[in-house]
Amino acid sequence: MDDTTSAWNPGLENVRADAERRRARGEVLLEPMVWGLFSLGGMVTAFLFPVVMLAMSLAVPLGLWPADRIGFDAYAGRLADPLFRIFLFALIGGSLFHGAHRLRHMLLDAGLKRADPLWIVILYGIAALGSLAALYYALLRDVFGIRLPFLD
Amino acid sequence: MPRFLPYTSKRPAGWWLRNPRYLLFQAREVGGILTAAYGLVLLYQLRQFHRGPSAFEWFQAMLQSPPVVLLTFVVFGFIMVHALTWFQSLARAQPVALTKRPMPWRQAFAVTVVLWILVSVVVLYLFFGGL
Repeated sequence: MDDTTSAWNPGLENVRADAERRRARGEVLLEPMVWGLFSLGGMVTAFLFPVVMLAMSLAVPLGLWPADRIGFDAYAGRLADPLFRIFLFALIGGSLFHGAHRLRHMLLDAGLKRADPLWIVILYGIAALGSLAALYYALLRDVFGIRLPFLD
Repeated sequence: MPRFLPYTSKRPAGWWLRNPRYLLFQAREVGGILTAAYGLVLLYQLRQFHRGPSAFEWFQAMLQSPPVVLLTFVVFGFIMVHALTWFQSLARAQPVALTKRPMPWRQAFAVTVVLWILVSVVVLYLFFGGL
């Protein structure tokens, strides 16, 4: 970089050094990915969770529905629709990645910055494993016939 | 070349209690985390379904017990805050640029809320057989 550029952009070298450091640490790959999943999960949870909660958890105690509408047979009937299976996978995966990212940044904001690698492993780990489990139960097991005995 | 140290701001622990805006911000953060908690409930419910009717009904009975229902209502409140403030920040962070001048955020927010209600009605009738 020549001097004229840095003279006109005080701090540019710092930003550049920071970017290089981040690249060296592999953050350039992880951060955009988790931000993307966070944002996608935010959309999913904001648009779909209120109505899903209302139907699956609150309609019966509110007296809107009889109890059998959230029973085993009703649930089996819903799962007969492949679209509902995809829907369920999107709800679970989206919310887990969204919540994991929010919780990680809440912990970082609270000053627990040094433990960030630990938060990354634990929180995104739970989100990834949970999403894979949802993928298995919702789609792989029944639609594609793939069986993993340790999950059954 | 001077050495630059990263700037770290110090906030008192109760900073978010002093201003209703900050409180709402924290409520949204909590709401975002609680969506994941409810996502885990949905996942466990799906697992219980595969373990058979008695396992499923046991979990449903647990979810419908009064203390859990009360907790669900609280979680629902936070998830509503999360949804509405998400739509609000959506309208502000990404101005709708279809027109010559960007749409005012209140208008974009109103459109999003209408869209959300529409999506909710569609989901209700498509997957849950209506009200």
